[in-house]
Amino acid sequence: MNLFPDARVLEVDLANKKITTKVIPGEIYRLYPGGSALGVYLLLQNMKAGIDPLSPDNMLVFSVSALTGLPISGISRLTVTAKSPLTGTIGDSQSGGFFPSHFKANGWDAIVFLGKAEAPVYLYIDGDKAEIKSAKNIWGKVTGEAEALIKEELCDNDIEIAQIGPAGEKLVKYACIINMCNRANGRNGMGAVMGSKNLKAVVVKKAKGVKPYNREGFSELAKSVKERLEKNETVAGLGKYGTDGDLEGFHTEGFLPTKNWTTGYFPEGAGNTTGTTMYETILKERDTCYACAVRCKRVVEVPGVVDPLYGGPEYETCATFGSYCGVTELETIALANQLCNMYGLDTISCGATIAFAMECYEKGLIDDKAAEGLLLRFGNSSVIAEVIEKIANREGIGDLLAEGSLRAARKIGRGAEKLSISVKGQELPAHMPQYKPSVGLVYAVNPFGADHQSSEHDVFLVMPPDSRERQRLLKIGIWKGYDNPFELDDEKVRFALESQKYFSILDTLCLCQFVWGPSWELYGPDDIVELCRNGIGWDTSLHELMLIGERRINMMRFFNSREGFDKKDDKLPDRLFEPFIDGPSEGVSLDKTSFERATETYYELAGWDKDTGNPTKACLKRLSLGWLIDNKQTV
Amino acid sequence: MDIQVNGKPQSIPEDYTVSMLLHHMNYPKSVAVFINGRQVLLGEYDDFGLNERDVVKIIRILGGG
Repeated sequence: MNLFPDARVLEVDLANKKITTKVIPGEIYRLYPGGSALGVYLLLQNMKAGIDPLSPDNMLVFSVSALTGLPISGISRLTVTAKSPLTGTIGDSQSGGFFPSHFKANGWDAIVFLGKAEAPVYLYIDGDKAEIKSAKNIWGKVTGEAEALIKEELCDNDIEIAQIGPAGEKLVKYACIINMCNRANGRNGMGAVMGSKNLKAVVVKKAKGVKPYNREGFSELAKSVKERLEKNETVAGLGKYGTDGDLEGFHTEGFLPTKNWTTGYFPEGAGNTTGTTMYETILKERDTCYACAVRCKRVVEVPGVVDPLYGGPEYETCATFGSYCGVTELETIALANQLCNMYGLDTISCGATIAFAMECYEKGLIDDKAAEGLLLRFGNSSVIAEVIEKIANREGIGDLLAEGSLRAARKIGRGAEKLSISVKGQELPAHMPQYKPSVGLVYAVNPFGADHQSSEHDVFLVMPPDSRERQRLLKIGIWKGYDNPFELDDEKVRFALESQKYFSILDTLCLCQFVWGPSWELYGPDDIVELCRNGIGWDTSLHELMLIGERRINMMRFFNSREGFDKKDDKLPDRLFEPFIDGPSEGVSLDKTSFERATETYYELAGWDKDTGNPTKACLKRLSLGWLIDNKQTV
Repeated sequence: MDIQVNGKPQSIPEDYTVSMLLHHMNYPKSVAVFINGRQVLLGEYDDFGLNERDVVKIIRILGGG
């Protein structure tokens, strides 16, 4: 037998305080088996195009997958999907922690939130029981306080909480959703959508773990993690130094985004802000997610300044509040990270938007009056905390910056738009396309704006052919190696697309990309098939999984086409095509002609229309998405 | 003996292998190494001997996250 489990979905009508249970039959769930694939499927089924993302018409979907909750590393991930208020496209965001596994262990695959509650509420789930409760006493509280109050109110510490902070309540366009006070569904402003619904939190009772289908086979796969960690120095290093372990390396190569991407070179601050320095100075302990042996999460402490409750900064946070802003003090970055986790802000967009404001200030586009006396100069670490608080509370200049760099630039005018380093309105993460051109290509074409976790990075293709990385990539048809990371030929474009499909599997099955990726990670493509077989009795193949990944991308792209997006929106900022003027990367830039040619090749390989960059009818039919062809009638 | 690593002169003892060079220069083993334009296999790092005037390119692997 090769049957797929049904999905159990909670539908919560916030306006009418009505909760219903829906079941998606296994044969349908198998096509969209969790994460944002399930999320966008539900949106396309039930939501009209053209709605205001912050209106009650937007749907908000929390989803896990058919695999979530199994006791193995890298499997406790939560996806949140809605129309994004930051980009206007499909919104998609993932986080780890313990919430996802306990949510699944309560017997649920997804929650769909509809409408807007009359007054602030939170949802409480305990097994089959789901209840809408008043959030009157926690509205306006930062995450740490709200978490304590909810536990006190329920007289229960055995709960997991995913919540918004004041930034989500104030509809900051890049507000996020926080669980454990330090794990974020960071990108695309999903916290603002939650705030627009007067939904403060989702609370789940901790529940007993999910049992694997084939205990023996599963146990073998799970227990092999120890040996895999011993043999994999990349993942072991990630555990020891966190994601920030490579920050100084990027600077050394000349590709650490610095001072709003004007340079890739940060000699004054890279050493102070890199993961090894964090390890030696403010790191208090390493934290983990449910059942995960990697322990990559940072917990930092600066007595009297930074509270370990709020975790510690990732690489992206160290870069956006560090090098992007020219800030050289790790303490300032750790405090910025804490404030973002308290108020519920995406650290990438927040740090990048402040860096944008600093460049505007230095160029006279934001004057002293608009800056309210704040010296928004690169390197001025003393303003960072105050600006974050202003953004979270939408006070003064913070109200402008709460819109994200692109909308702020349009309000400022006078050419400020060129200083917004964003795609589709979402600020770029800290991986430079000048060094990783295929990642840049995916930044451009990705349905929900620039994202560094949507494809494998170019540099793994320079590893020797007998390396784990290259051997695994062969499994998904990536055969060509390179002697440098900078090329963007047709095979590199194919690498971008095929690895994007693979990462799309991960964002569907809600698997951690550090553990279950296609090259350097702990488990590879063969293992993921074994996980499905032994975990839930799903006798799948890599072929079926790649189709699932591709289906998700196409549904998202179709969603965007309903909203009026097309190839004109697949653009990188002009700055990336201008040569660096200093550091080891001096003279390096992306070549515009080659990049545009690569984008056309990408559409061609994806089976998308060359004039619009959107999926063709034939492509949709090939992916069992023929039902979407008439879906535009809902516009 | 003298070799060139990433465009800079480097002096190393005789009988140095790729692994020894990486260790000497504080590189992890998970890097790409090209000697006189030819990529060295990972399985060769421990035994591949370097010669006078070799031109070595080492590429650090800086991934995602």
